[in-house]
Amino acid sequence: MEVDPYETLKTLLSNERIIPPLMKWKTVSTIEYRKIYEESIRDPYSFWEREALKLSWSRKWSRVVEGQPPNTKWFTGGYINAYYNIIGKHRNTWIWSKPAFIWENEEGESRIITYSELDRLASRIASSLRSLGVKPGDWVLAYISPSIEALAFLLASIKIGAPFETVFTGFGYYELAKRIRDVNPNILLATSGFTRRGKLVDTLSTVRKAVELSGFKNPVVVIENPGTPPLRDSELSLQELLGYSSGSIEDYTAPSEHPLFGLHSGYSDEYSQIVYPTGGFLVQVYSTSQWIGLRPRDTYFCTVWPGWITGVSYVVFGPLMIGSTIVLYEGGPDYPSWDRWWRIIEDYAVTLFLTTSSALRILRKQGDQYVTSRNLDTLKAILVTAEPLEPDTWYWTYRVVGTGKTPVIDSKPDGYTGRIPVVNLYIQSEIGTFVTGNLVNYTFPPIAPGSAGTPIPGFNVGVVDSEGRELTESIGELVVRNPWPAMPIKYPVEYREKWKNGYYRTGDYAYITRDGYVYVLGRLDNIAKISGYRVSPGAIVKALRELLGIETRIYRVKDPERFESFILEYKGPVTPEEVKSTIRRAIGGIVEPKQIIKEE
Amino acid sequence: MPKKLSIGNTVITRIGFAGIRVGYNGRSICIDPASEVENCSIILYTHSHSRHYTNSPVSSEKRVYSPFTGIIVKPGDVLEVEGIRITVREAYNDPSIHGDSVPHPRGFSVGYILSPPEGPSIYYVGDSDLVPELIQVESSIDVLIPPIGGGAVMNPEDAFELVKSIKPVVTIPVHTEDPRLLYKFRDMVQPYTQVVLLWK
Repeated sequence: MEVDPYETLKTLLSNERIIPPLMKWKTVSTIEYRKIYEESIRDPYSFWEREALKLSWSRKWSRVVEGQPPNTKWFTGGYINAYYNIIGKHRNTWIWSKPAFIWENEEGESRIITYSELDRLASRIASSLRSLGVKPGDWVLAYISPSIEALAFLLASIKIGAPFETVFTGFGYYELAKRIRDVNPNILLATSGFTRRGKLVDTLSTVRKAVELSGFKNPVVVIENPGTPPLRDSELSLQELLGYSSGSIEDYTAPSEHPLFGLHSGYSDEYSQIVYPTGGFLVQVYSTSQWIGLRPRDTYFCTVWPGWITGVSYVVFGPLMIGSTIVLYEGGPDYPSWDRWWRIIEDYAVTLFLTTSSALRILRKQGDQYVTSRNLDTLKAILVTAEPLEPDTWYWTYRVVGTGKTPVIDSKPDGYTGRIPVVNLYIQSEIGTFVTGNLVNYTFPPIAPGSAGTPIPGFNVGVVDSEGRELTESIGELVVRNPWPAMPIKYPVEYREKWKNGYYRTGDYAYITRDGYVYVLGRLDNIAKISGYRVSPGAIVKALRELLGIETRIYRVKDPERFESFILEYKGPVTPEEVKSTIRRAIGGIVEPKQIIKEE
Repeated sequence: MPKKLSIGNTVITRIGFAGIRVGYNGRSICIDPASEVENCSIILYTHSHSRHYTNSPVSSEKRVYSPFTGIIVKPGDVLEVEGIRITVREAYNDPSIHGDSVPHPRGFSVGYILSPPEGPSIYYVGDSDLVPELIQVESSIDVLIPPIGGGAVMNPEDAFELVKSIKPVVTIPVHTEDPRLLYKFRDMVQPYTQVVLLWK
């Protein structure tokens, strides 16, 4: 089935409006919401300036914005210590001694590190990196799974002003080599391996191939895990790196527009790097993290790994800035059985759970018993992102996952009436944070199942036709009409071309109701959203041409579980199995087509 | 699912009915291991009830501390074992709650605080009601291991009071096989500590 936004809308649209029992006293009417929202977008610069004042600035900005989009710079003249705003500010507060991360692997080994211990580790790594000659503006590229050491390394990079980019371990050596060439990092950080579904994923071998292919000569630092190959002389273990530590170092205080981190995002022809500014990004991620429901006393479990914008914004930055406890799970959701994520919520008393629509569709398929056999009563909200969430999966999540065992107000556990909010939020790499969605700690109108909620204050979101005319209750393209603080400071031509007539075209089909609920319906271009990942078809075509010498054609199709998928047709002397295995090894398992057809 | 919790320089696992093993610096200190003593280099018993202690011979290589066997300890004692400071604490039933015939009279049972250098302080409460001595801790507690089963020990509400009073970083409830009590306790205390349901 080909991708058709009208068909997608039919699967999403419903007239229902739900007020979860737990939100009975926090839900606002749509009129109240509109008032707050319209006030925010009437003067978004003042709105975001007020938000910026919630951070600690070493020197206040002289101008809130400067330049025309896409070259808008925020908080120019301002200087900010990013590490202080993420970690350092918690010193001398009760948060300093509380857990920052709880890590668990598939074998049930668990580890807790407090904010003060995390600071000590990140500071030692930072000092070591400085001794190795890494200086502000140098890049760190990280091919990592979600471990405490990996996260501490990213924080160490922030501490010394070295921007980082994370690469999802689902990408193969060819894509990693491309990112090494693009980013030209001074340090490559890698996890040697981790277990997934009981089997070792040997990331070190992938890294070695990528290093060889890209001709990378700078230090490779490896976080070693049991069972992985011994390190070579050219590679440095994290323990060896720490040997270079030479006392405490001062945090880097950055100009607002200093690069904080980067990510490669999928475009039609290729994956290209976007780089985010320090000041504006921190403002936007701090505010939105508070609004989605995070508080210092929350224990938060995000299943998105930090190779994607959600996993960076809402694991590395937002929750730590707030002082929440973050659960990191380094393993598969189905090991040893499909109740693993529910057990994590149960065992660590998770209060806020963030996952993807695809994950919920797959978990639902496994059967209710995996959920109902666990006690998830500590949850106060379930946040869902990456792609549309159909009402039937929303209702399953709301009723089966969200009702809990203990009644709240007028919820009935035996009746699966629902209890806590299940909130779908829209995010895009270029924007850096969530842009639409009901906000548990701010504007929370009734939930419209199937929608991505209402626009978040500060983002002037709308739907337009190809001529730029405003559309209501008609399908068009989702746009953001005002610059936002986290606007990229480095971007590809595809992003620049998305800015027309003063607003930004997201490239996503969308539909907005009269009462303001946004339905996101998939891409206008040929980019696919596969399990929430934005996959570039052109990158697959190029890679297969280079690696196998074949010409391919790729079609995007609907996928009942992963939202979208590809069908790949090719001509050439190789078998479909060879094509499949090359995609898996070189490009990455996440882009594997649904079907590979050899044309005769 | 978590079966082994690393915090600071220690690794905590569950053994026996209500016991724990604390791995530190290559040694294993077990508290109330019942019969599961094989991987213990030092054993601390809180009292002699069968779910905590079994009267079977223990290898002479293992050092045993308790109020009734091995090296005898009493509340207020401070020991130095393998570089770890061990403070012996009061743990008893309150006759005003249970009457004169209490399962854990004063002097029969104790609790322990383990304080490894640079490691987390671990307070194993032992079989006790919420008596005033429990909340009188001299320094901050990183890991609290309270009983929550009710009856002859604290119930979830009592343990909740203890958590609120001493504000541990992490709390691992023990001394129950009833999941309803675990969930009740977890849901009450989670804002005030990080609960970990550690399984065997």
